[in-house]
Amino acid sequence: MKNFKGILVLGERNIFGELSQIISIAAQANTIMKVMFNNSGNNQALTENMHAVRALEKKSDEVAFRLSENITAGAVSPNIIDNLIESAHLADNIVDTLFYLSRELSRMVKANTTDFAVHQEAEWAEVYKQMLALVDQTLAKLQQMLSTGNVPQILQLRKEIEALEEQGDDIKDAGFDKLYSMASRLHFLQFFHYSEMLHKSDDVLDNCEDLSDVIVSIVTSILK
Amino acid sequence: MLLLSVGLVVLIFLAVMLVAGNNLSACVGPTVGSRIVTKRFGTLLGAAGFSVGLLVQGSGMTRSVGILLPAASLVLRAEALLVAIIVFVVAYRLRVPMSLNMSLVGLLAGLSIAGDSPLNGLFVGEVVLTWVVVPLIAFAVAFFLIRFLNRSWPANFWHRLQEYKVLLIVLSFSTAYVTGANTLGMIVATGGFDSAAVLAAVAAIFVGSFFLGEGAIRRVSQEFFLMRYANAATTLITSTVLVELATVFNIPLSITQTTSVAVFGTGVSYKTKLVSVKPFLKVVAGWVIAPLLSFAIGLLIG
Repeated sequence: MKNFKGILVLGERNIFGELSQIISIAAQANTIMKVMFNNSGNNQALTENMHAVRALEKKSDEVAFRLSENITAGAVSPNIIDNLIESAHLADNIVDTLFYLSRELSRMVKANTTDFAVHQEAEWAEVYKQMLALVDQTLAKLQQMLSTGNVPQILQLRKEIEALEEQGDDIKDAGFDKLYSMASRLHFLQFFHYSEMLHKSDDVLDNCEDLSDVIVSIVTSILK
Repeated sequence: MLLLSVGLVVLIFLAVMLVAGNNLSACVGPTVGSRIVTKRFGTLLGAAGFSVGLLVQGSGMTRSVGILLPAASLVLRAEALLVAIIVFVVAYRLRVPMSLNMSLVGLLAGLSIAGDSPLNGLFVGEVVLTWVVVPLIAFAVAFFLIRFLNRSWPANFWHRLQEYKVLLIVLSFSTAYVTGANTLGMIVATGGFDSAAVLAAVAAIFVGSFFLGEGAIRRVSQEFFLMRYANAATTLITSTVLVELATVFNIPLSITQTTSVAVFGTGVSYKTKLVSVKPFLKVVAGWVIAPLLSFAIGLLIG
């Protein structure tokens, strides 16, 4: 009986469940990032939150490693193994990038010694918070993709994620326009910092979109 | 006489062992390759299918052997099996795909003509027609069935996936069953289909499956299961139904014949495809060469 139940276990579904865990971790990290941007003047709070994101990143690494092992050893069709491993990497990359953002923010705030720099940091935080709001929505849609068995819904969610990513691109482009227009007034470190934060925030959304594409690819490969 | 009877049982054992080991991967490869079941469980499933098929429907092939070789003495039966085994082993060593079933039919027909026995032309015609028509049917069925399955998305793809997995287990057994009933039945029928022959064949099925089939499973399951669940299920359904129909009419039909064409049919049913035709043509050439070569050998030694 136990063996028969084992036969009915869907390896692919278990893997989607584990991917969903990483997405939950990413959502937690994203929430902490928003708190960090709201308290960008409080050094201690930033450091503590950065450590919290670091702990989440470590947890995500562990889940991703276990997931990769399960993919190669589990009851999974070999023709989707590569896509599943790629999906694990992409999901883990989302958390890794959020951790990078938290470190960059925490490090730069300590270097902001002038009133102008502190004011600028708070102003730019609003731009990044818009990106993170999009990340929140995207992660929620990814969770839906991983939990539903309805293929048309999965395809629709992928389109919605794509639209959110495009909104993120617009915010990033507007951010760079602003950055370049004020470049002459910025210290090179500030310029690098804002540029890097814009790029990495966009990378989070790109990873989410890539992950949604791979999920669609997996579902298609399984069924057709 | 006793020595000859024992020798015949040994030849049946050898032939069944080779065929069981060779065909196991085609029957349970998709299920093992998709890791739905372990290699050991898959081997057991295949061996059980072969045995049940042989015991339940295998005796029907004695009619075919009776028609092809009406005056079959023990010596003639032993000769036929020995030559079929040699041809099969040589072809295997030369990496030429060859069906023992087709080879055996050609050989029996050759021996029959050489021994001045009245060969039933109608039956031979039916067999040849089956070998020509069934691959065409297998191609069409596989082609359209996969298109039918892929015409729309399922309401819940997890349920569909689970259905495919259960279906593949059932189909692995049923494909092994029809192979046992047809191909293995044909071999045992050539040897006489008495209780000693059947017992030896069942033992040979397990020996061949566990000692000759496991290596092939690994290779074939990986190649075979580059196909998707739908393709594998379609291929096995097509093979099972067509070989079972042939068995009902006591016509020898190789499972590799239907499987190869069904794999090809599912492959070309996609709009975007990259199908390697050369290995397929090599298999098709084997279907023509095997019975003709065996027929010639039968004429020479008969």
